[in-house]
Amino acid sequence: MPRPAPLAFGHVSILHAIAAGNRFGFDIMEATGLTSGTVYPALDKLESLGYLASHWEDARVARRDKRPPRRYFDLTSAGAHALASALQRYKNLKPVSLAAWKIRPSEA
Amino acid sequence: MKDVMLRLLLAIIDAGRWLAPESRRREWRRQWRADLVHEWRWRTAHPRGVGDRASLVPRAAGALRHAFWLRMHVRSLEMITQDLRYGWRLMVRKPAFTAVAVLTLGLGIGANVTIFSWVDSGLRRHLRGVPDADRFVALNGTTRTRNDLVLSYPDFLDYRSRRPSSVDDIIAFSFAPMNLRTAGDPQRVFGQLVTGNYFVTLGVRPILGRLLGPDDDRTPDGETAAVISHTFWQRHFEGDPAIVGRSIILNGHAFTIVGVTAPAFRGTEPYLSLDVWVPMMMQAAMIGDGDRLNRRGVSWLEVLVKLKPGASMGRAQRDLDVISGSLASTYPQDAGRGVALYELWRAPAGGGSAIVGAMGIQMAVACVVLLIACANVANLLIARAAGRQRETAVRLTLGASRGRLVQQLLTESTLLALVGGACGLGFAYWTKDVVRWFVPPVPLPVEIDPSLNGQVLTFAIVVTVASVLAFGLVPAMQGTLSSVSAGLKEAAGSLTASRRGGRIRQALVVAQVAMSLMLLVSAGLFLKSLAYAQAVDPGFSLRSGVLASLDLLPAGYDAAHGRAFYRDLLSRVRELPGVEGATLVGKMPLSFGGTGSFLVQIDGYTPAANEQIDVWYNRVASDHMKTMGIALLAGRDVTDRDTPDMPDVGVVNETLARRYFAGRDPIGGLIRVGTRPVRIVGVARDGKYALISESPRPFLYVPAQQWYRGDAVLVVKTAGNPAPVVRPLHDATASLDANVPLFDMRTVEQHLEIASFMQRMLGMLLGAFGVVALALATVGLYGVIAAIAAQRTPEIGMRIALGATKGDIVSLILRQGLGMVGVGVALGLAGALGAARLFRSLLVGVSTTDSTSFLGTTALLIAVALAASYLPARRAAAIDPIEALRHE
Repeated sequence: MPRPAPLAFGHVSILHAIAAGNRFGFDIMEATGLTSGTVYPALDKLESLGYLASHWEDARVARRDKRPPRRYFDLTSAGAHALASALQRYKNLKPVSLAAWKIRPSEA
Repeated sequence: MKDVMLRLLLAIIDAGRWLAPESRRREWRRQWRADLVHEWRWRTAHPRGVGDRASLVPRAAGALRHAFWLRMHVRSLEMITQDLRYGWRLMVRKPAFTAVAVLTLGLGIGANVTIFSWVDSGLRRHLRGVPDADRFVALNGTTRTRNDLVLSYPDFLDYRSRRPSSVDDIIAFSFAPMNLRTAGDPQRVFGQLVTGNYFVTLGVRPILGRLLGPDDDRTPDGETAAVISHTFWQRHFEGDPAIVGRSIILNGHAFTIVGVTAPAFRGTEPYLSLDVWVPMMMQAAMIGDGDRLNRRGVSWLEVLVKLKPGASMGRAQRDLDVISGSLASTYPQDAGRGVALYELWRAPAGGGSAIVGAMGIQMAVACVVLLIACANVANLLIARAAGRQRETAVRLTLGASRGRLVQQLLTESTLLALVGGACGLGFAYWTKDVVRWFVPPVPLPVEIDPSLNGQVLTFAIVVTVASVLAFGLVPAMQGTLSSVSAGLKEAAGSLTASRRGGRIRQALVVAQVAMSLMLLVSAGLFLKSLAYAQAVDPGFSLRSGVLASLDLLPAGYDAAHGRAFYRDLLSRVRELPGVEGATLVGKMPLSFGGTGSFLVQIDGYTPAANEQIDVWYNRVASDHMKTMGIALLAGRDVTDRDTPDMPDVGVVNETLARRYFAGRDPIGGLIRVGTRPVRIVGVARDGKYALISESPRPFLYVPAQQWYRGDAVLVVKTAGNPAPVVRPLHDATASLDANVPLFDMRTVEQHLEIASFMQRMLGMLLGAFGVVALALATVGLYGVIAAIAAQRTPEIGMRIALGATKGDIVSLILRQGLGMVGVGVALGLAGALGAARLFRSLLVGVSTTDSTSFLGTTALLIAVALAASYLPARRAAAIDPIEALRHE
């Protein structure tokens, strides 16, 4: 099996949001600013890669709150590793001068 | 108003669910509804301004994108069902192809499953009906040079009472044939003497009553409880529900049946199904030889160790070594002795290891057959892929990926293999009873009861998957590698068609030819060996007669009464009509299980340093040489006057006389067996004693009256058909003592078949598989030659147009076929030479390089191959050149 390609930024930010405690589709949208049409497929994709595990909320809890049970997502250890290495990748980006585009670092 | 908006959101989801693929639809809808409802409620509870909730509508639109994404994503999964459907249609559309492939695979897989189920039933499921069978290991006694010894009862007690923490418990038992007396004729039954903890430790449960426990095993010679097996209960007592409490007489002692074991339990002897279990304390009554329970020097018990859960065999071994060390230093009888643990299937003392060899050969043969079958199906698939080259090319042009095409071809192969595997299971079920041919004819309750259980099914699946990889991968890869442009051209139209596929097919045919030749040569060797074994002179000329075993010990005879019984029995039997002669032997020559031997000294012969004179012997009654038809070269036969009060005498064979009495007259010579001097009174011709394959050995016949033992074989020579003598024999014995059964009755002819059992069994097996392999290879060769001829049609047309004769064309094609066969034969002969060395010890009277077997089978194979190539060659020669060249 080939090594999975490095994660796209959107996927990284979703993993990041889940690691920060957002466990439902809409919370993740709020946290990442991505649209629902991006987040939901990405969640399925990340789950198929083994980075996320999803399960359905306990039906009794949902019934007590008089609402349908929701599907929520957890980071797997593979997901945590992928997130850590992606964050490391972004951290390794050196600051570059954007002066030629008349942008000062503070504006970036 | 609010609820209207929520309802709108949910309506979007409801409508959009048709976008989601069917397999994920429910889940998708459930997730989105829940999330939207939740979010709606949350935003209602925590208002963030005008239009906040309305912004959920475009969010819900994202659900549609999600559904669409799922459809694209899940598609790859659903393609498999599409492939399956397509593959199924292909299979149905070409029934001939499918039938050949499926039957071929079924044969290969079935052969493997059948033989695995035999191995499984005997070796793996040795402890049937025992819950924690995998925790049991065999404990063998060892000395410096041996590891197949049994244990004495005092040693067993010591190991058990000092057992380390890694050992749960230790049980001991001894196989004991017994005479059973209920009503009617006495009967030979087979049982075990078992220690009181036997059933508890095994965890076997009764189906009726109770099983033996520690309280049943306290008083030597005073216990009366017995347990019978389920099969014996059904067979002998017709499943009588009131069996518990019935009394039976075993070896003249009254026992009470206290229970019946669960149906699955067979006892603890591999491949045997036992009838009855009695307490160890009854040893003296059941197997005689005085009291063994207090004799540390007498080893006779098989021992099994039940490990603690999680304890390793290595640790238990180290723990037990400590105990052996202390026993060896405490008791002189145990000096130099130790114990070794073995997995049950390979314990040297358990008898299983003897069968491992034969099973190994059978398994290997089955694997070769499967390989040949796979090669054949791979060949068929490549041929079919060649026919589908256009389809493949079109699909590649239209954008199908190679991986996708490989996946589809593999799916088709898997489908074939699954049907083939099912066919193989059916085949295995059908041939279940063939195992009877492979049971050696011994006087024991042998039971090989193969069943298609979980392990066998798992094995079948593994074999099926392995064969998919073996036969499916190469054609799939190769079929999709053809280039698009070449494929779209009229493949058969060009003079120089691609040869790559042809190469692989030729290699497969070469492999098939080589493997079938290996099987055929091996079969030839075994069949020749069988012919030799049947033709070889066993040293006695008796051919029409009956053999019957008897055992006086269980009937309570001492030596004096036993001798009288033997004498009376012989004189009565000799009176019977149709009987020409009768004698007794301790052991019939060429039985399973070897022969007894004495270490002797011979007066007048000085052994070399370190030379031991090891002489095989047999106890024989009067008229032995006459009845058996063994020529006496000098002196006399054993007679009725050779009784214990007379001096010990014996008859030797030629080899003994020649080797130890060189230049002297052996008659009158003295052989000292221990302290007993045996005077030689006769010299008999050499014979075969233990094995048909043995070289001449020194042999000594001693009178049964002088060397009394309670067990013997009655040999009766009849004038013609021995069948009418059988009933009078039983009656004659019963008139002397109704408690003594005659058992294991057979004709001399049947007995002689035992001698060649191994050769017959393996010859039949290899021969059958060899013929199947030859048929498969022939079909493969024919297919490849036909394909090559078809591919070369334009070339052949050109040659004919340029003046080639039919004979030229036939020889052109034949040469190509024979080239393949030649390479295959060379490889096969080399392989057969190697294989023959492996089973050299089983070949009798035939060298491992026997020219008849090698040349004969090679000639047969070449003849068949010629025929398989000739048909397509002749067809190619009949090509009309105009027609063939029209497309150029």
